[in-house]
Amino acid sequence: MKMKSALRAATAMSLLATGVSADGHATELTIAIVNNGHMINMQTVAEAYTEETGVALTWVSLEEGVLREQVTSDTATGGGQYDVINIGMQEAPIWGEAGWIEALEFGDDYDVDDMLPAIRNGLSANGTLYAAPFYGESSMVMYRKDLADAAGVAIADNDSWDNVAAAAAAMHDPENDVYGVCLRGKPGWGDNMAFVTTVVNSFGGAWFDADGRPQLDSDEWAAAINFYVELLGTYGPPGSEGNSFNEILALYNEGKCGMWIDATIAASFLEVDGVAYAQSPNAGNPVGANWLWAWAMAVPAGSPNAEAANDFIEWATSKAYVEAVGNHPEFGWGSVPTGTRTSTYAIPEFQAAAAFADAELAAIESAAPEATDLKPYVGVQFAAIPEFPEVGSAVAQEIAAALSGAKTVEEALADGQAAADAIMKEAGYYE
Amino acid sequence: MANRTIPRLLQTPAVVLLLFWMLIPLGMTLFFSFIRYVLNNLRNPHWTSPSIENWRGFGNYQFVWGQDSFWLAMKNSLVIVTSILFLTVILGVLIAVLINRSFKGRGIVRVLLISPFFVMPAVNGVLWINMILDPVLGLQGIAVGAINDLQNAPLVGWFFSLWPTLEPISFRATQTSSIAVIMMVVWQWTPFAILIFMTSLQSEDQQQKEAAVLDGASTWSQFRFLTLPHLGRPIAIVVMIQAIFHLSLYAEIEIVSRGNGNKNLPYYIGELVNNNIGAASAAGIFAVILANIVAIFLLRMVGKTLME
Amino acid sequence: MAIVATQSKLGKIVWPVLAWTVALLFFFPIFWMILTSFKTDADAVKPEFLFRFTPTLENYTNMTDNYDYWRFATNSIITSVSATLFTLFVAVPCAYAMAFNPSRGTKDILMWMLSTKMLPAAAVLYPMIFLTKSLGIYDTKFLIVMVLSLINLPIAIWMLFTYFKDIPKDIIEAGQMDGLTTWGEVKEILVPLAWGGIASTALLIFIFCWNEAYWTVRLTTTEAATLSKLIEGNRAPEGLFFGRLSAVSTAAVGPIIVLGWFSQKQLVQGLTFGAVK
Repeated sequence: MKMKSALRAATAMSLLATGVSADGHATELTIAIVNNGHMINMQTVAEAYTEETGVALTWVSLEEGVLREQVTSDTATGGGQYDVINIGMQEAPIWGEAGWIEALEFGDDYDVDDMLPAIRNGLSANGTLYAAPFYGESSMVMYRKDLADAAGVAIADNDSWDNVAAAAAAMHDPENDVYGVCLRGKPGWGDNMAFVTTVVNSFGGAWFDADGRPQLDSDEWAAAINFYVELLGTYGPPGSEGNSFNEILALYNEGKCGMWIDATIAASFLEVDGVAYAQSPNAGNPVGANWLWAWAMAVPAGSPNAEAANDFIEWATSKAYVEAVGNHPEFGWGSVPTGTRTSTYAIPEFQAAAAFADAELAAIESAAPEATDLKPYVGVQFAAIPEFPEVGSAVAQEIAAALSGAKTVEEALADGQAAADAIMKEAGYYE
Repeated sequence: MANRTIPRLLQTPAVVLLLFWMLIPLGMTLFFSFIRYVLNNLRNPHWTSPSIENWRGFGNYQFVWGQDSFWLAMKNSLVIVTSILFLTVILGVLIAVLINRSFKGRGIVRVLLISPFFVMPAVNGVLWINMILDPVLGLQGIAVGAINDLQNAPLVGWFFSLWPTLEPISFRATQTSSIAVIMMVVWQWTPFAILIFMTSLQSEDQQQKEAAVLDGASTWSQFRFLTLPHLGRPIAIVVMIQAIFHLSLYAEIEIVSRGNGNKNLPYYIGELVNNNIGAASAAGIFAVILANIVAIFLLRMVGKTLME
Repeated sequence: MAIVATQSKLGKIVWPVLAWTVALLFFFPIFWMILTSFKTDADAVKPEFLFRFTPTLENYTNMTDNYDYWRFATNSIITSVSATLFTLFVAVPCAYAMAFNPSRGTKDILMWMLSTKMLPAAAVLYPMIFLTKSLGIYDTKFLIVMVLSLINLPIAIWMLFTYFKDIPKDIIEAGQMDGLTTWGEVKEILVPLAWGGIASTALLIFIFCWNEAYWTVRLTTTEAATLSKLIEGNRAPEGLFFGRLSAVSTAAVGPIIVLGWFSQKQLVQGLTFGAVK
């Protein structure tokens, strides 16, 4: 390995000196990935793919926000830098419709119908699949059974928010560094707003009405945000306004959280004993209380190797890939990417390795991203419109300000509404 | 005449390069700022190509001007830069004077002191906000926890119980995030100020100083009436160079709190750039204007001494 | 008199102790980062392993095996060195002309150059992407070298100008009497005399190039990606990996810190910006 990189360094130097560019004989794919565990593992598993097909793979792994920025700027200016890109469920349908990414075509072996319907719908636009899910997730409650038992509380599937708050209060023991509940607070449409939106949904609120007018001034938003700020402000760890998935995972694994409501994928990283799962709490609303997300792979328009890229995605999201990870000496069945295919959940080795499998499948299947009267846009914890990231981050900062007490909930929502309104007007939704 | 040609020729490459660097991208930004240009818009797909047909006049400027976050960013830009300048200059002068005498291990002290200046901004941000300032997992959290635990300690516990339990501070909160940014940038740039002041102090007139000591001048009055005036010019230089760098602060803002509470102008523009290029360009032009105002102000201050 | 004596005796102890304390405080974050880089990710957040822990190299091997550290490091070295050399190549003649043959416009040109440094990079991001893509130089080392040179050129010219300005004109004039050409003046007189200033300018520019993180992240994909980009890829992975993060950070800033240590005397001498008379 060391030898190889030294050699590469030497070649790079000599190339620069002579000005000759590398001329690869085989196809080379440049793949932009978000720096998550599953994606990093893929780099190792894919060594077999290169061996088999001769297709060389170059990986560019980036932090989520930077990845979005880079992939967007490249694709919007005609592409050409990447052959395969990691995109999320928020972008996939929009980019597909805008013609930024290619429709995917897979062979019969791929068994497209095996894909979980909610995930597949979320990654399609007008019935065409534009991005193939690498892993999918919903959200659920993870809590410390030992602490809950000791406190004499229990959390049921789709429990009421009141019960959840009561359980958090019962487990809260800051003297001994245990906080009742850990929730996302770090501003970002994919961070705090992912969770906050599920709360708003469960209270019957929505981001926009059918005209695209923001609804943050509604009673549902006020009730939901007041509840969120109260719950996390009282029973959360200090500094919650800086916590997102990464930070809370570290806190939870340090035994500092009684309960955590977050991505189902978190369950596969938990190292604390006695974890129990429950479906997300609800206040009785049909939109549901859990989110739906997938990191998917797509081929940007303008990729010079579109065909090879399509083939690679077919391999990386296939049943065979799941098996390859499961049987890989470095990884095993606990590390397979989940949330994409029904067949994965039927594999006995996977069931044995993943205690959270049933809860995760149930959560994903119950998520409803379709547009309804109540929520007239596609997406659960986001709206699949190009303006959402802008609206989402602006509101996210207001909610974080409310959480840290810099603003009251009312002020934060009013400011959020004003910012969202300006952005939607600017985008031409209404005058 | 020939006398003038060669110097002009020598300056040409630098001037031409910088002209290109400034005019071409800036010209495009100026153009974008007057048209509707977004990366993606499903209702108005024609806005997605930068074309003169989407002319918008001052619409982008009006949009930016009317946004609360723009004014917040303006304010933060100035507050953050001014605080950093203030703190680095004070700390820089004090520390430079402190180490401007011979003592054991002075070389090592210097090396330790200037090290932060070499750290990458992104590393600086990650290091401080996660490992040092995090209220639970960072050193701050650990230290606060340890101090609070002393209340239960045998023998001395009663003493610590007299004090209120400490609450760790969250530096990612809206109220505190710009403090975190200021703290980490001051840590990184005070060494730069120390370097410059140290150089300057070495040229201080020692005879004058000795005379002052013989006259019975106190350490304070030596500092006040000899050292400080001597440092006037280097302070101007430090202020100028740092202002140039900190007006474009970006990585630290992003890492600490994604602009929550500490959003400055570059970060505000960065947020717009994710979709609304027209508005981002208008904000960029505002930033250029602000930069020029600051520049004129600073150059007045430094420019005079420059040509002497 | 007696009072003065005790003061200085006290001073002999108090000042050095104070100086050492401040220095250690300033260095502590870096020390902490290096220390953490030898801990496993799990140990890094545990108070009980604050100072006593079993050191591991796992984070470093992970970095070289899975994150291709050497490719990024090579790119950083190539681009920073080339950009520093190119900057000097353009800046030295310019500063020389400004210092020895100043005209009325010199000061304004200098000020204008410095003001280009205040442009917010984000404002010209898309123009830059369009331009570089249409020229076919996006993600090339050439582009990164050019960009790094351009953003540092004003500082370099200013530093060199202030340094050259303090060189007595008579020496140059004497050279001219002896029939030296302009090139001869630069080579025979200026460079030997201003060597300290040139060297410290080079050092400072090199540091700025190495640490640049806006353009090097946004105008590259693979070919020209530098260590800044490696940091961007590692700063928020799933799970908060303090150990891994520290190792990558240490490996990214380590070379430049060591360089800084060795050259700090040089740096101190040249960093005057005309402030020292």
